[in-house]
Amino acid sequence: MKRLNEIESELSGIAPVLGKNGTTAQPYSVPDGYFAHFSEILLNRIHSESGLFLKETDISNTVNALSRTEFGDENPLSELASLSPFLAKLERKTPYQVPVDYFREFQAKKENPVPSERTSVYAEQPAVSKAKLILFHSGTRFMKYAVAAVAAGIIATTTFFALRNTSADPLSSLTNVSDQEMANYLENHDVHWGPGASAPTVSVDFSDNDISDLLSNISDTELEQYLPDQKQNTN
Amino acid sequence: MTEQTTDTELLALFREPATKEKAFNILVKKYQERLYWHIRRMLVDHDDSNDVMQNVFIRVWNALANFREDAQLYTWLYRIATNECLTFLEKQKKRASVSINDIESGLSNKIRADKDFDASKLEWKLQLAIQQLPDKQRIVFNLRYYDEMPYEEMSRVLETSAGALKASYHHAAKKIEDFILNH
Repeated sequence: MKRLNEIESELSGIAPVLGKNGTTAQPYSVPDGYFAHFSEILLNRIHSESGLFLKETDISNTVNALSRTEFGDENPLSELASLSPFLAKLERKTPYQVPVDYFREFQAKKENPVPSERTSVYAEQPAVSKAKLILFHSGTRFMKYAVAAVAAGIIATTTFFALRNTSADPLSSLTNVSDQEMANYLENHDVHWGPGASAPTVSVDFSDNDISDLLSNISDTELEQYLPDQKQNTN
Repeated sequence: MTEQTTDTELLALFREPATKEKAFNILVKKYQERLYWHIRRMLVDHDDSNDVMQNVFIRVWNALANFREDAQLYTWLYRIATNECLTFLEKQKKRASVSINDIESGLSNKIRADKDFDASKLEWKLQLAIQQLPDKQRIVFNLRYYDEMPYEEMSRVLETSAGALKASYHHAAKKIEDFILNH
């Protein structure tokens, strides 16, 4: 097939290999006579499908035609025989089973009705005085939310303080420890106290003024009592 | 009534119950080969193409009476055929629950399985190269390369701008050239 100049020059500009050596030859083959018979095959399919899926107008036309002619008030069996001899020949038997004596008991029940436990929910019920309906108004709903919010607040506050108390000053718990327990602990855990201890000490330089400020609240009597005690302790 | 009958005449005849089938028969004969090759190049397999072809013309049969003549019949037929091809490929992907790459390699395998396949021939190489393209790019390339369809016409078939189609064709041609040079 001779390619249009416009398309050939466009292709040569984009992909020279295709433009120069390209071929439009079709490598695929089709079965013999495929195109010759395609339209017939297609129309057959259209006819068969339109037969399966009749349009409403076709259905009403068919019904009208049938009612006008052979199946007016005909016997159902002869009607079926005309429509489908195959179906007409089949034994008309229902395959389902019913409980033994179902129909006899059903008839007896109909004649002597006995109140049954299984009454229809649609049966007419005696008139009963209706209980007063209490509706949940929007105000009640608001109250519910308010109560829930207060309860959540209480729980959150309690939890907060409870957690906070766990990290309280550890010295406060020392009041529960006996002197004997403390002495045992110090003996067993190599704790050094006093001037030779290796624990770091903090040296602070005090001026004369600082010292006089610190001692201003202490009476002379207390100082006199303190000094002999210290002297005794160091000895 | 022959295949030379114009589309407008065919449409008028199709709308008459007495000439409906005859007009349809001529319409099918007039367009069947062009549409078949358009479909076949997309689906590779003849049986798949035949199924899609029949579906296309059944759609045409059902909708032709309502066809608005503001569009060309030929454009409308190509649009139906293209949509049917894409739907078919989409269904295949879903049914197989495989990725697009698997479908493409499936199409390549179908080409290699063809009784006439000859890897040394350029026309077969070209088909293998075309199957590497994404579905829509493949359609654009086929319509331009084989059917020599103008971009304006193609834009009506694919409802895409002529500029976008031109860009798509350029990408496709480059990819195909690369494939042929490297294989």
